[in-house]
Amino acid sequence: MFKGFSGSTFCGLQNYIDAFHNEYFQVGLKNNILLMLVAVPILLILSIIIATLLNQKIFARGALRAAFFMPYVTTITAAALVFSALFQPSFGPINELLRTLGIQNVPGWTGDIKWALPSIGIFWIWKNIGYCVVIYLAGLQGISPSYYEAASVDGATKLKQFFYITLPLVSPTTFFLLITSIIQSFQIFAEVQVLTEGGPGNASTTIVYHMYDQAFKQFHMGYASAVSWIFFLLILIVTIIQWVVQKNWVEYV
Amino acid sequence: MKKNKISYTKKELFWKILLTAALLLIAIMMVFPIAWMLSASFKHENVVFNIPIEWIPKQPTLSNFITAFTDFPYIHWYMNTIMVTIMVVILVLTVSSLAGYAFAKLEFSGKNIIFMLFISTMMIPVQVRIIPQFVIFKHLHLINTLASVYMPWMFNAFSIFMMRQFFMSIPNELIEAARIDGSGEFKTFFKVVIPLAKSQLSALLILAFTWGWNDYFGPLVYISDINKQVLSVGIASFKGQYSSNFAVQMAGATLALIPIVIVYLCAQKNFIEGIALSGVKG
Repeated sequence: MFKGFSGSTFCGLQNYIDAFHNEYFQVGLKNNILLMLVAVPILLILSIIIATLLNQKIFARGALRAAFFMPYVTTITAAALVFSALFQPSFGPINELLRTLGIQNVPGWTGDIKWALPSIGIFWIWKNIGYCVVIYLAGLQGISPSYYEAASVDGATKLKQFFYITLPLVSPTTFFLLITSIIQSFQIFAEVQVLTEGGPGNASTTIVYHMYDQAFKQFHMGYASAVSWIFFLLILIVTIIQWVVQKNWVEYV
Repeated sequence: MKKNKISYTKKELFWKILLTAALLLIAIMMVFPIAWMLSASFKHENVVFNIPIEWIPKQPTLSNFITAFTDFPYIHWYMNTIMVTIMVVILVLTVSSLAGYAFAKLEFSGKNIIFMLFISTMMIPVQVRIIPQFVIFKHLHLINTLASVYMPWMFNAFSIFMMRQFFMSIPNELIEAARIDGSGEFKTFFKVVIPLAKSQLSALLILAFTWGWNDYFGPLVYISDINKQVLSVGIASFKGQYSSNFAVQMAGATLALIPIVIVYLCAQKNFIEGIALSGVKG
């Protein structure tokens, strides 16, 4: 199965070249980039909205916060089993709800080439939103109320206050969450494993899933190691870009 | 800013109710899957998807749970998961408080380099390390043992970093005073430093509990013997064997989630504060 140094032969960059020619790798890379560009922004936008609302004067803040955070502590495979039942295309609760709302052409979710990746994205957002909300709340509570008081004396609406005070002042938190969420989105694995197994076909495969499949199911350890190096470099590059770009939008008070 | 309760105007009260209602709606969406799972696990297979949803089953049954326990080595999975969780909690708490203290308050050569090396491992996701780690564990004959699951948690850079940040905030005078009074390094640590870190350690304890209970990638790769498996990996096999029986699947998921959800609900405040703490300053 694994030979160690003694039985293997040096093959230069061949594994890396193979990776970029592998269809599963290409689709996985594309899917990871899609998740980063679509699921991560949705996650952060929803989180900042929920956190801002939670930070207002409301009833039962503690209980609501506890409810938002609950998915984050659940065992991922158990939660994924639940979601694959909820996503069941013919009579699952989600599609039943869509039908009662008058949508006839309901998606096939995990079994549908077009909807498999969005299903994974939705599940991932559900699972991680509580964490982002809690971190945002900590950030929001660090903003001095005097800013808001001054703004409302000047007649700024709540919406204006949100865009001109809240957003700039939580930008360090946003930066932190952006980096951690992007790294996490690249690590999506159990979601794929339980919900779709990368399918249908290769529609919802990801880089990490491809790596796991090659290393521990096909036992192509050398090739899989090359894939994990590419995976690591990708994360590194994305993080470095973030660090460089952050100066333009992150404001440290 | 706390105001007197009487000072609500009608408009303020209206907004408060509206915002609460909006948040309640989202909260219901978040909890819906877990509630649905719990309800479905007590239903007969043929009524699981009935619409409107029977939240409290008209004919509740325990047969799904019995199937889960008889067709799967569920007891083994439970014992293994409990074992892993206990070990992860013990290892994380002892190693990160000792190492965090050393990095924060002791002087030794190469301290900063070792610390930077440690911190840089946070940048490397577990999936990148898994192949070499697998090879190492194979040579150590740790494959198919629970040790392979909990051992890697010992060197968790995140928790060491968290404890170090806390110990940095303890004034040196306190430690020096203890030393002058003639207490040794270990006595200082246990009698002076640790009591100050109670809230940090309880936050870390809860975090470590979830890490241990929910660990998935490690056991999936290192353990192939079904009786030595843990819950998180084990219940994924429900989907293969009972692919169309969602009632049994939900019973399996419920069994896996109940302990962690109960722990969460009891310690919910510590939990959230621990997480918030971990996010501050990255």
